[in-house]
Amino acid sequence: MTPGRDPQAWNRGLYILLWLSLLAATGAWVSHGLRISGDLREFLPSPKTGNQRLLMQQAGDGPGSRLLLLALAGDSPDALAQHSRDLREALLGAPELLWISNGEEDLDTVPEALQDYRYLLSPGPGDGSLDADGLRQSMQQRLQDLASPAAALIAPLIARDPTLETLRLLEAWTPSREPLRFDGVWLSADSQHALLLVQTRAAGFDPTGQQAALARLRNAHADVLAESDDTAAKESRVVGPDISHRITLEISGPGAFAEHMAAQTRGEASTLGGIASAAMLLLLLFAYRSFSLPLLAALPLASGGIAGLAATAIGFGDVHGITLAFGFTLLGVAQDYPVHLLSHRHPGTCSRDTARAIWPTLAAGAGSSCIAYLIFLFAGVSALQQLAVFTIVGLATAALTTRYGMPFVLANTRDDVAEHRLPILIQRRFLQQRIPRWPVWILAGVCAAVIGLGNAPWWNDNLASLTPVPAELLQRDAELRAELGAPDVRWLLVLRAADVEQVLQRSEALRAELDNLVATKVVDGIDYAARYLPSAAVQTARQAQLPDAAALQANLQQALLDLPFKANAFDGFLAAVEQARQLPPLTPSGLIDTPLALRIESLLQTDAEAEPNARTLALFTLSGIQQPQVLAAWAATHADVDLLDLKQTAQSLAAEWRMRVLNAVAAAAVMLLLSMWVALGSWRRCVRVLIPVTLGTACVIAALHALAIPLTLFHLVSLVLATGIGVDYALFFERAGDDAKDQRRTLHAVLICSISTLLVFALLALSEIPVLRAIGLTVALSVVPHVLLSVWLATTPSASEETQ
Amino acid sequence: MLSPLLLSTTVSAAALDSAALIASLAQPLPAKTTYFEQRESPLLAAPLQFSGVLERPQVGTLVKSVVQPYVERTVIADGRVSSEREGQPQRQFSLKRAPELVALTASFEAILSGDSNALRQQYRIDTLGDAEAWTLTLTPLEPRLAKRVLAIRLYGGLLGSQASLRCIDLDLAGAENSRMWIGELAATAMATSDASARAALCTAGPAKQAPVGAPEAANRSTGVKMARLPALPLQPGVPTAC
Repeated sequence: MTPGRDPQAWNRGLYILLWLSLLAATGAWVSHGLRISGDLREFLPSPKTGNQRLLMQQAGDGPGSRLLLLALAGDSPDALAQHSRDLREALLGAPELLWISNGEEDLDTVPEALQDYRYLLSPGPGDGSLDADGLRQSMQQRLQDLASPAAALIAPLIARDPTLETLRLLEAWTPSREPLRFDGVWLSADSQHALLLVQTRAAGFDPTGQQAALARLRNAHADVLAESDDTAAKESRVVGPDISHRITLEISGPGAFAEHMAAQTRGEASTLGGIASAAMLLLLLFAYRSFSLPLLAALPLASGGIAGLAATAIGFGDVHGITLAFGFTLLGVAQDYPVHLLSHRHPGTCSRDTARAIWPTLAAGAGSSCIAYLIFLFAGVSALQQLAVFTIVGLATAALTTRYGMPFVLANTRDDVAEHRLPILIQRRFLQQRIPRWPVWILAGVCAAVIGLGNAPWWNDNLASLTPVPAELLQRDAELRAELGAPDVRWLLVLRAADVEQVLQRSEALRAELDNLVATKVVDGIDYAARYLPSAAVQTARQAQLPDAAALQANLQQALLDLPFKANAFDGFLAAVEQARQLPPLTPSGLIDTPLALRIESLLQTDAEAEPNARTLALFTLSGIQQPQVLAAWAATHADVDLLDLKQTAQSLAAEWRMRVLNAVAAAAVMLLLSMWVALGSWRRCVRVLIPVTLGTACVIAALHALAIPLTLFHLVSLVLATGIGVDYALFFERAGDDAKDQRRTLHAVLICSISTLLVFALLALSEIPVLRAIGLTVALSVVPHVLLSVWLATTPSASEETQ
Repeated sequence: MLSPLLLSTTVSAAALDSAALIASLAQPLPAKTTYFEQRESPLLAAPLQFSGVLERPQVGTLVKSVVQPYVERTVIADGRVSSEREGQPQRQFSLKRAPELVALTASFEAILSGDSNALRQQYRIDTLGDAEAWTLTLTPLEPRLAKRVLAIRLYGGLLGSQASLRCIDLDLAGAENSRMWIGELAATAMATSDASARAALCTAGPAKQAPVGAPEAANRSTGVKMARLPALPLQPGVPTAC
């Protein structure tokens, strides 16, 4: 029968087209609506204690996570300073950024809405700036200001704010620790870098928002460079010719790291994916000696992948990047199913019959994996739930399309793999001899010994090891943070009280001690809400101290004696003070829509689940901690102040979830056992299959432990996957029983599956990303034991033989 | 050493070309001159008067110092203004935030370097008068600047046979303006107490030739009646009359 005249060929072609278009349509729909998130908090369980809740808040949205640190390098300090100023000008008002700071103090950053409150917010009036003497001094200075070139800036303010309280406020709001200033702009200690601090509007783990902010920064930098090149070109006849120094911009911070991670993941995914696909195609080509079969084998794979993605997108709306990566590694497992079908076909039967014949075993293998993953739906960790949905839907789809879809597209074969050389060779050498059982018992003993006696740490509690950011980038970030006085990411002081007013009052009461801590160099700087917003009590007290209209008028008249100001020049000032005497105290809600709002917001938090007199938290961000023990001792002397070690809190969180995941894995093991018993029907068969599987899993655990690799969540989840692979091999060998041809076909299939699985996961094990490395290593290490042990299974007498 | 704004070539009495006029006012580096300034503001009942030294030590840098009745030094360079007054912290800000300073510095740069091209691009230049007594009026072309700076007027004429700058007027929005008497006129203006006579110095020139070195003496004179600005150093709360 020539293919050209085979009417079935047209049908098959049609089915393939149909399948492909369905895949393409679904794929397009999914990729259109899919959002990929990078929030590592999705891998953590829900927090229990107040400190853990705070940790989650800080990690996602806290002040530290929105901060980007910029460093300019590559030219003389003068040029760097100029570039820094130009960059800041270019970025003022950018919608992606909340504020940008480079050391220049800007008079017009006290927002309009807050200017009315200046006499309540500023300590000036309390220090006597509105007394007759204070006013006189101010007036004399303002007179000279009017004459000086600075009049351009001061003149608009003088009439309403002659004592320049707005200026005093701005000075009070500058951070207590600042980098070196050169010509008014921040420079690093070695004068090689100009430093800037930027706060983004988007949270640290919002990849699109951070991307937009980073793009804005880089564009502004390029624009400033272009402009300065233009100016240099114009002036080159005056300033000598020269070398155009290229100033480089370096960005550090959680947003930059997230971008780095995303780029790296994308890069690796495409490289590894490419290599893996090519390798698999070649392997299948070699194994089946046909060009079309490997391509057809890809159809169930693609279906599984796209179905898994679609299900996750529908169920959760977004997919975590790591879940995505993990999901696609599944394909290294799901490709087993079409391979089994292809290997078990032989001349004389049509594909439909073969599919029907192997379906029970296939279903048992896929089904038990799916049921095992069902447990993760209840693990209480959202990313694991996504993982579970992806895996279950993906594997089930791959299996079902193999059973029901592949027969439509597969022609009847003329090739029986049972006649290939390699399977015959292996069978003769290994399977047709009685292999003693004792090596297996020895293996079991060795595994038990390693597991029981090995003294490497079992668990990796360090959440930071989940990020693939290279150590030198983290180091650089720490250096920049130290230079800029940016807040520490690990330590935090927390003050708890019933409400905002109490928290502010307590902070003010602690002000002297806090200043002392800074003065004695225990900490370089402390930032807290009460620095920006005095408590209502303090504001009311200041209000009471403001002179009334008559007294202020008298003071003013005395101050203006002999000065050439007009009599009514300061009516606006008088009105402003009078207004300040009537204003209600400023609260955080009054700061909404001003730049201060975000600073205060991040320094004042509420914890709805805490007890009533600890509902409001004031955070004291620390920079440059020199003596943590002294700080801890100080915190211990106050009942409502806590020194929080975020790293340690994170570890306690990690330890908790470990317990939960272990329970889930144990439950999954039980489910696996039960589902196999149901599928195989006989307890004896069940045990026969489980022995190699259990031993194989034990080998992997022992190998990881022997390599001194501490286990993480991802190792555990991959272990379940690896066990699923082992179950698959064992079930097929068990099914083949003693039928020589079937044994050879199974050998063929298992060889292909194991080599391709090994290939894919060994490639993953080479990844820079710790998560992918964990997955790759675990599964790659499991392939060989599982293959060998299931081959050994084939040599032991089957149930049918024993009953004879 | 004082050097009035002189030039080696003379200017003809024929119709004036602003470019040639400005070119004729050019001053070699480093340039230095005294000034006497009077500044009016809607906040003030009487104008502020003070005097000091204007310098251009190198291209692109202007230094304005106040010597009487208090001491202050302002350096304008590289787009930055840096101001220091005795007993006060240094103040620094970007030139871009003070449009009138931008205008003033641009016009000074142009005049002292003799190059009117850049000026022409940013201002409309109107010439009035002849070589004996001329007025150059600069009106900003850019709308944002024009909102703040209404006009800059340069008065000048002949000193001997050379072109010289006599006065600079700055008209700002909001009824603020200032007038500077430059060079030898500074001392004369300081000595004159009548406002109209002082104003006439700009258009008429010095009534008599001031001997070389006299402006320095005039600067040190304390017998000048000034608007009552307290002299430095200040004792807090104790006003001292000049």
